[in-house]
Amino acid sequence: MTKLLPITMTILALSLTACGGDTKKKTEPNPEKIEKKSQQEISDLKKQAEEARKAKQEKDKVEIIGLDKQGSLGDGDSKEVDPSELSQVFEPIIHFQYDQYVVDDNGLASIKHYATILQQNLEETITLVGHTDERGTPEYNIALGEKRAKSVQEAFLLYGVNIKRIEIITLGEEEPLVDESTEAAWAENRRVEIKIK
Amino acid sequence: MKKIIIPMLVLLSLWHSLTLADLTIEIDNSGNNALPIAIIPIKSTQGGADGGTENEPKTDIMAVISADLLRSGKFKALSISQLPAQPQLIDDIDYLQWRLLDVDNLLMGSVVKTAKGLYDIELRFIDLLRKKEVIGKRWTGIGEKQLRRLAHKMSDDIYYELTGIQGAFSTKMAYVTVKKKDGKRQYTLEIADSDGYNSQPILKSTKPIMSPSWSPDGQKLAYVSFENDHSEIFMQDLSGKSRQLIASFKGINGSPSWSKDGRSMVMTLSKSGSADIYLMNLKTKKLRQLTRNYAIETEAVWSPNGHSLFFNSDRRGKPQIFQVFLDTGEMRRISYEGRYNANPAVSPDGRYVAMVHASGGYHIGLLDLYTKEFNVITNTYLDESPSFSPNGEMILYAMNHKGKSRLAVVAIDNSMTQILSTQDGEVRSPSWGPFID
Repeated sequence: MTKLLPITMTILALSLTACGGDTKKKTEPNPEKIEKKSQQEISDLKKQAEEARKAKQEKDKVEIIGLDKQGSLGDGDSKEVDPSELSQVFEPIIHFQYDQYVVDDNGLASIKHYATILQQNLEETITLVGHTDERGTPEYNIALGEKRAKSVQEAFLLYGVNIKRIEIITLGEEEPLVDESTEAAWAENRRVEIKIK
Repeated sequence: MKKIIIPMLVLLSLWHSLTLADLTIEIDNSGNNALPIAIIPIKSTQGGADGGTENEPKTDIMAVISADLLRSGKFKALSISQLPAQPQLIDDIDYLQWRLLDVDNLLMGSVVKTAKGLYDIELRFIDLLRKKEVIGKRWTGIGEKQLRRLAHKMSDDIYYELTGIQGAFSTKMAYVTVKKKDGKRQYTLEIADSDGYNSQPILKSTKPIMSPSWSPDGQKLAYVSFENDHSEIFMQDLSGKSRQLIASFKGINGSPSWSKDGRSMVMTLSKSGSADIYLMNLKTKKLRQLTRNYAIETEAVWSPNGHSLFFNSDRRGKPQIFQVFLDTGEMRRISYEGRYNANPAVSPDGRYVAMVHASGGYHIGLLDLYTKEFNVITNTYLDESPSFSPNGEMILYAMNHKGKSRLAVVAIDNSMTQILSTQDGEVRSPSWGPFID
């Protein structure tokens, strides 16, 4: 399954790209700017799951809407962007293989990204919500969801986030993103969601 | 020939019949070796007058009994067209006629509507070989809402008469329904008759509800609710009068299972880091940790004698069923067939362990602890949450049919599977309740 882009993350990535014409000349990024951006990212994260859910429904393309609201790009019309054309875009959802709780490289890159944001916003705390697909038994899946959330937590600790800032919840198979019984749906549903409290 | 009519006191149903969300039954396959029974439709009358349809109760008692017996996998009512005659009185029975059809048993009865709008009912179960009425019952002053209960009682008696095993048709089941309203999930914990009718909600939530477990007296349910955004175990009186939070530790609070004496409960907690099995004294709330392993240990259930527990552990890499003895702490693995065996359920006589078995699909497997024989007894899709009937003859489980979670009942000899379904929404986490006196 192709990784799909949550809308606001995409917007941020685009705005970073837009103002990035002179970034190579700068030896250090403007801390004020980063602070501002990461704060925005934090607030965006809070809406992330809902928007990710919408994005999931777009199978191969991501529709970016509301650019006029951001004021920095485009003319406000909807645009379709091929995800592969964008780089450095992360989603606050870590995916897993069937009956596995090992975080893969993509997952680690996402976690590193959000760990960096957290380290720039020390007052923020996160909740990691573990989920599984519908197969197998509900109570075993509750435990599996917790193992997945703990794997993600361990990665956050590795990137320097204090354990006190991370809460873990498991929902097992109870709240799937995609209410279908297909391999694609199951792949979407095996996940840990990173949520800002 | 002797007529035995036993007057019976019919208890008022604890659960008022709310028929809105009733489950309906679909027959998935039918038993080949099922014993045929002649069930004669009732012709209702009103106190001597020759009665019209307005005098018939809405509930077809004979249809309820037929469905009960069919669900057991052991019996099958002849269809109306197969009946050579419809005798209304014992004296009208032509015994040779039925013997020629190889039918050994016949159920007949009468319903009379009284002036008060209630019903007087007689049911007679005839042994056609011995030409003898073996069960005869009369109920007087019965309301419409009690007719299904009465029919299930008769099914229980017939089942006992023919098998020597207590019938479990009068028992209840608990399960969770999930409906989507405006994109939001609505979870409801419900209690219904063993055939899925007379459902009644006992808890509604916008957050998941899981794993109902009956108290041995059938008066309470323990279950997992996420109403506070994480799993917690609650205990609720079915009357709705009392509700108690009994486990809300850090991490998982799941998989409650009541001990047979009602005094303790096993559960899964992850407060020490990973999912482990704990035993809670319900009076003192004192905990005893039974497993200590980094692996997932969950879904513990009691052996009938209360000396051991069966549970799921993935300590060997994949989920398998283990047994732990409470006095010695001795542990042994009991499932060896296949790579995934989870969610054990133990038969009331302790002989069988049903489990979710995955090999090319998820099905209910049945392990005979005496012979070590293992059989897959379901062939539906994504089967889970097996729960034995209190007489051990049938297993209630959850499965996926046409993209929806539904409940099904399978006879343990795999002779019959029936799917129960709601009008809308999904049905999950079934648990068959105990015998209630």
